[in-house]
Order: sequence, then structure tokens, then C-alpha cells
Amino acid sequence: MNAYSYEGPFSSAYFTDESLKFRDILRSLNCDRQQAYDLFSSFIELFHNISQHAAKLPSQNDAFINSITLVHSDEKHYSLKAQNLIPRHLEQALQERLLSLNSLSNAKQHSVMGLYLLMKSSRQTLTWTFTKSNYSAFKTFNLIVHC
Amino acid sequence: MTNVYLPAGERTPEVTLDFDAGRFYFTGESYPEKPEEFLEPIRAKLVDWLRLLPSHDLDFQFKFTHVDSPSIKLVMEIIEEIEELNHHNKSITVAWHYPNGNRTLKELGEEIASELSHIRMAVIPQD
Repeated sequence: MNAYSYEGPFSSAYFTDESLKFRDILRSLNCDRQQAYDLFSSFIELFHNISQHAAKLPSQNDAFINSITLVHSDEKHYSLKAQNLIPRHLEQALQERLLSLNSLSNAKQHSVMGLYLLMKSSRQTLTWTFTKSNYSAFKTFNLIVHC
Repeated sequence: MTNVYLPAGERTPEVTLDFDAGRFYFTGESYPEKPEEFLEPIRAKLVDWLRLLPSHDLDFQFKFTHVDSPSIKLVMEIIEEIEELNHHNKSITVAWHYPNGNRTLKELGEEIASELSHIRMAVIPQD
């Protein structure tokens, strides 16, 4: 069962309310301080990543296409999952940038600081996949962190 | 340059840019709703001033209790400018304070510090 799920809209106008909601949910869970910090930090980066970089479909809002979900993965840990669409032709370039997550300065240089922070907050458990979407010109970019 | 004081907001840190005294403090949570709108004027003002090669000694204190990636980028850009100034025989103090026990903020501070070649940034736990 999901502890939290949000399917948009993703924009700065909705960021404040959702970050407050997410923080309230973390308070209600049995997280230690570090875990709560890392989950909240990851949520912020995932939300910004979608609001700033997700592909927009013409004549459709982003509700139900992009999402962030928090699930209880075992007794003490949570998984935070995000998905958004990217144009199919950008997959290779994004893959290459993801490979620059080995240092803070590299991440800054390749404009993937948010993903780098996800890597730090999740103790290197960040994983990503590109999967088929319902739209032929797009792929679904999936990010998962474990805290 | 006019001094700047911004009180802490819900998602923004207390910011003190005291150009007269050469003291620059960032305190609290930093994950602005619109990062560019909040951070860019601070970055621009500080960088412009630093490039005038101020004669003061400098004191930078980063005391974040929560920080997002645009805010870390701001810190790195400020520090890159400070590193350039080190050639001008100034006393420069830079410190990254983190809440005691917060491993993520501690490691981030250490990582930023490790990338510096001309100045030293202290990484200090605070209760």
C-alpha cells in the first residue's frame, strides 16, 4: 500500500502544498531523523525534476502521466518512486548525463545536481530505467530511491 | 553595495549580505518554491561585489538545516569566486555548519570542501 502518491499537476505553484503534505506524512511514519531528512530531500529533487524537465504532451495536462509514490519497502525502509515522460530522442543524452553522477563537480557541470543529491540522500541506491510509454514519441523515465 | 538582510521564510534561509563588514551568512532551510527567482539575485549581487576585489577580510558561514540542489549550486558558485580572491592575500573564512548527526549534510559539506584548492572550508557540526 502506498504511504503517499501524487500524480500532478507538477509546477512550482503546487510544490508548496505538496511538500507540506509530504512532510506531514513523514511525521506520521516511524522514520528516524536522518531517514526523514533523506526522504524529504529526495521528494524535493524528484518534484523539481518533473516540474522542470518532464515532457509536456500537447493538449493534455500532466495529471496521471507523471507521478511520485512513497511505499514501505520493508520494516525499516521506504522507496520513493517517480516517473515522467521524456522525448524518446533524448534518452541517450540523458543516459550519458546520468553517468556523470560520480562527483559533485561533474554533476554540476552536466546540470544533474538534483540527481546527484538523490544519489547522496539514498546512499547510492538511486536507480533509473527507461520504459515504453503509451505515447510513441515518448519514453517513461523511472527513478527509484531507497531510504 | 547596499547590505541585504532577508528573514527566513518557510522554505528560504535567513540571508545576511553585509558588504560593509565582509560577512555573509545563510541560515536555515533552503528549498525555494522558485529557486531561480530567490537565489539568482543573491548570487549576482555577491559575485558582482567579489569581482570588485573588495579590500575586506571575508567571512562566509553556511548554516543550512535543509538544502536543495539549486542552493548547493549557489554555494559552489560563490565559493568558486572566493577561491579566485585567495590570490589577493586576504583573510578568508568559509564554514559549512550541519545539524549534528545529519550524515547527508555533513558529507555534502565535506565533498564541497574537498573540491577546493586555494581555500579551506571548515565543516562543523552544530547542536
